Amino acid sequence: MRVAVTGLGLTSPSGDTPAQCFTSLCLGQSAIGLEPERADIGLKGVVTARCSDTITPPDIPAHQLLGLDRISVLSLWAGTQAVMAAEAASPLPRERMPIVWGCSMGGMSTVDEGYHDVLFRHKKRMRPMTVPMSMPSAPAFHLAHHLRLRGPVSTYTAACASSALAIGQGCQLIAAGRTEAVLVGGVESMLSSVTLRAWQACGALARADPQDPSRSGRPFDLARTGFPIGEGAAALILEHPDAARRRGAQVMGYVCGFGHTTDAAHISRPESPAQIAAMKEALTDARLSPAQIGYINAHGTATVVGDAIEATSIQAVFGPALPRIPVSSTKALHGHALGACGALESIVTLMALNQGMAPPNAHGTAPDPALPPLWLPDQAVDIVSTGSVSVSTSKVRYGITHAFAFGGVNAVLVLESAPHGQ
Amino acid sequence: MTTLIAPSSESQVLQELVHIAAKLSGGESSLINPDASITEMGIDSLGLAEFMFNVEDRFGVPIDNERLQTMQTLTDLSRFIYTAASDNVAQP
Repeated sequence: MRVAVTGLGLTSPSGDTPAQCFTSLCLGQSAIGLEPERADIGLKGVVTARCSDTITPPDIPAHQLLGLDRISVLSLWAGTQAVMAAEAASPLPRERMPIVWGCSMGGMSTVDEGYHDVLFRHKKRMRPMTVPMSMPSAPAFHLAHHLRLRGPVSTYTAACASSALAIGQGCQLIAAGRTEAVLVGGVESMLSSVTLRAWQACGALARADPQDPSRSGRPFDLARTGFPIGEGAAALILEHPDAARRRGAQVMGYVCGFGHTTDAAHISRPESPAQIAAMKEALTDARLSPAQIGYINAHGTATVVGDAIEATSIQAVFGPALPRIPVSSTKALHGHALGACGALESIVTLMALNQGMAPPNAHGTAPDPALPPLWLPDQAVDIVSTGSVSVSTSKVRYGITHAFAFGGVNAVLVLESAPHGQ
Repeated sequence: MTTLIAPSSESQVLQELVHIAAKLSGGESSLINPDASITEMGIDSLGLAEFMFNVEDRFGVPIDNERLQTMQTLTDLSRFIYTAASDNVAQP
């Protein structure tokens, strides 16, 4: 399987375009901040990363925006950007194009507001649009409606693997000959008060660094405490390479491998064997050896258990090649975008390959001696001159990105840089 | 949370109802006829429910579906809301 990427779009706490986001990450700029304390509901010491509050997708009338949860607003921003980029040369076959989107929990801000209306504001009526606004499939509907994409529309809800699975499924639709082009990606936005309390209760969130809250995310570090919770949306246009060529589209890279396995063991504690199987499946799908990978974009949630298991899996797959491959989790800087992280970090990985620069694994204090040793660059690293990969060109062509989710769902994607000269 | 301000007149209520209807439907306030049937404002049943939610939120006057069915136009609705809101003020 080798599918061309001809359009990219995103909004993230680190920027509202792929270029903005990637530049910010390479500069090590943290978008993490301390959430204001809410004594009434016991919210204190939570670090979050928010997209711009004023983001407005183009060409959506104001009255329609009133009926959209933030998950749909962010999705429309990213999806429209990707479609516009892909159509720079010629139109996409919108009349029959599918959408495969990812969203793990839906419009929790709208649900939170509804509960507040009924329980605290004692309103007699709950907002009638609560259900249509908050359902996890709403963003995909609004993308189809606004962009007039009339192929099959589906939404994956598989926690943090949601949008990585959406990309994998989009590739499979093309490989099976079901479509020549597909809009894939995902979204998440659940930074509302009660939902933050729920995340805090499950013990996965980072403790705010008392000296500098923006440095609270520390993947694979000895001082890691969990993830800063983020939000965002990211979108890719995938096309059959022949169709992209016929359209004269600019190819921004390729998705060339997909692995998908399940731990079938524990709802929240990951396990190495199925992670390893997913990584190997993706490499086999891409017909690559581990030594051909030049950058590992880790899931790296900075939880004590999650990072230890992922590091073990990485070592098992990459073995002797590992000292030459930079590993980073960009969640330290843009926060954990949950259902959107697979698509967001796939774009980051593609940008890294195209620009020859791996973003840093930020905010390290000391390596954790309990973990297998990984090359965790604390600043962006040039992956052209490191000569880390045994390929015939001087440019690193392949990277891998992991999405390991609650529910034991493991999704791994192998990405390839744009053809030379693009 | 919305701060409730009691309307000073029935015509003020009507003006605000027209504004809410225009905001939700995306139309111009000037194109909404307050004496036309509420069901002909160009919004679907879910939109009508959203409209009533916004109206209750603004004026603090609950309007159940039975009551709504007795009112044909925005003018009828404004009369009911103004009376009910005035009663609320008179009964602290």
